[in-house]
Amino acid sequence: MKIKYPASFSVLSFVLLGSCAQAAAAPRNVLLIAGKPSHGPGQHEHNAGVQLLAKCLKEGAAESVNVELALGGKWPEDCVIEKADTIVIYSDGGGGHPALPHLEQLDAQMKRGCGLVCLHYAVEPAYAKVGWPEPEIGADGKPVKQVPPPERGSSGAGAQEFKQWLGGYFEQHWSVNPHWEASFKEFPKHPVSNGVKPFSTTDEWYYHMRFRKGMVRVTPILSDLPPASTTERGEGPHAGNPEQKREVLEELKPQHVAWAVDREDGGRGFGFTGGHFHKGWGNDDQRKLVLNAILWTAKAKVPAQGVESKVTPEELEANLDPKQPPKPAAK
Amino acid sequence: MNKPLSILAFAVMAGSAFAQEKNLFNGKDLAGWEGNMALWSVKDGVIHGETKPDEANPKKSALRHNTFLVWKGGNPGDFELKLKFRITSEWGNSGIQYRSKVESEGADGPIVSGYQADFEAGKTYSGILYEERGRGILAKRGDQVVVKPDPADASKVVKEVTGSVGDSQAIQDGITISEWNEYRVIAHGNHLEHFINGMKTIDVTDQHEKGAKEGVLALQMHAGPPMVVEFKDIKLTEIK
Repeated sequence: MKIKYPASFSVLSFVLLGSCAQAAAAPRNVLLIAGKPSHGPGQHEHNAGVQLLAKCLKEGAAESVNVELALGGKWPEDCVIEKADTIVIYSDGGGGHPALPHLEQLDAQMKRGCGLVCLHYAVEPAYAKVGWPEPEIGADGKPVKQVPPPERGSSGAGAQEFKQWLGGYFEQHWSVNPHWEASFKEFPKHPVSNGVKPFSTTDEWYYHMRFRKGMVRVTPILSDLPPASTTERGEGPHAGNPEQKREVLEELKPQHVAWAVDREDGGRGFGFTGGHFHKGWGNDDQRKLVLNAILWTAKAKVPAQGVESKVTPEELEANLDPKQPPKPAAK
Repeated sequence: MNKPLSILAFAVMAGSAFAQEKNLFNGKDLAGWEGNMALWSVKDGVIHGETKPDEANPKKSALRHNTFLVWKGGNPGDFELKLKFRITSEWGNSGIQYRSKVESEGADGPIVSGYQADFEAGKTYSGILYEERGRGILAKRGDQVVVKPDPADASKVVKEVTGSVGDSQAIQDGITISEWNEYRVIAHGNHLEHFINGMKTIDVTDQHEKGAKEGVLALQMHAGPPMVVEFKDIKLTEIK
């Protein structure tokens, strides 16, 4: 499938991709990477999403950052990666996460202090069970359903890297992906929350992330207690698990759906689990928070009132991937 | 299961068995803390430290020396400490002692030496690494510093600024001292980092023999003009 992008953006990416020999200017370099289309219209609009964020950065933070784009799931050239001050990935994740073939390259960037931002599904690396007993086959010849062991983990590609680089990640059988309305009433004093006012949105807010042990170096930015309905989806890799249910139903523990990490290597990371619905980027506070986070991870100064930007209804409709409309319901 | 996977599996399992966040203040009383209780109390659920004007000279408090509220729960070495602080008086200077030592029982309470994550009502010292009764200012706000022995005399100290972690003015602009601010101190080996409100304020590698590897945590009350300092949400995660 060939996707057409507006000429201005493809020319821009071409020019920027071709300008690696230039010396770094004072503004910080932001590299936005969009994954391939996947879901239905208005969902996982990675290409439209990063172009919208790019537009807002150019309007609200032109003096502090340069913006470069890599669209349609194309991994940027080495020289573009190597001069990025922060790398923002908005894409599908799991085993098909676009970063997985490039973990070594990213590791080198993180070690030099480059930032990393992962939006929505991009917070989920590959998964491989660790700490589970050997599967048993029951009398009926089917595998016996196992209770998730408390000391479980993942050795999937990227799991330990994401925990280090991002501070936390979506781990199957530990994290969950329900749709719910989250209401964010207060924020920590942190550059990422500069100027952000309380807001509520319905999104696929993944929660119960696998964070660094003891949350060391991690600052929760957006937290809310999910409704009980989010625990009523049974158990499964993305649906639910005992610890998640206990925290929400019994301990009433607010769940962190956006967080910042100051890494040992001096770099910064930011994870944001919302962003399923493209229209969420029309919310001024959600957008400001993520734009602030991009600046913060790039070590650019975040304005005291946050990154100001405006998005018109037309801009929110721009650059959407061509997708099949949903099939009519069967009669 | 292939070999690298099982090694990694072991690492994951081992990694989850420790690093619990410990709450050092119960929000009700000063159980677990020691100091001059004429200065320290719990008010409205927060630790309240206050010195009153001296009757003879109301511009000063009667405090004859700096004194400290000392946490009695251990001598953390490698850790992350998070707390919220504010100064509600016009003047004020305080700080968080870590890897520190109770030197003596002074006339007005315990006297402590060692690393201090500094903060004040003024605009100069918040965020710096100071060593109380020791090597003085080890890193100014915004600086990355390596502290090492002087090649000519190992007992002397060289403080070499090796880089910047942020703009000092911008960090200060992010602090409203009369409101709650978050301090975060990370000590790991000889690497010390301070953050205020999510902004890194110093980064020090202390290669000098005088650099402490563990010791007490304590909160400072400074001699000088009368002052009020408050603390809450004091959380310690030991990194082992």
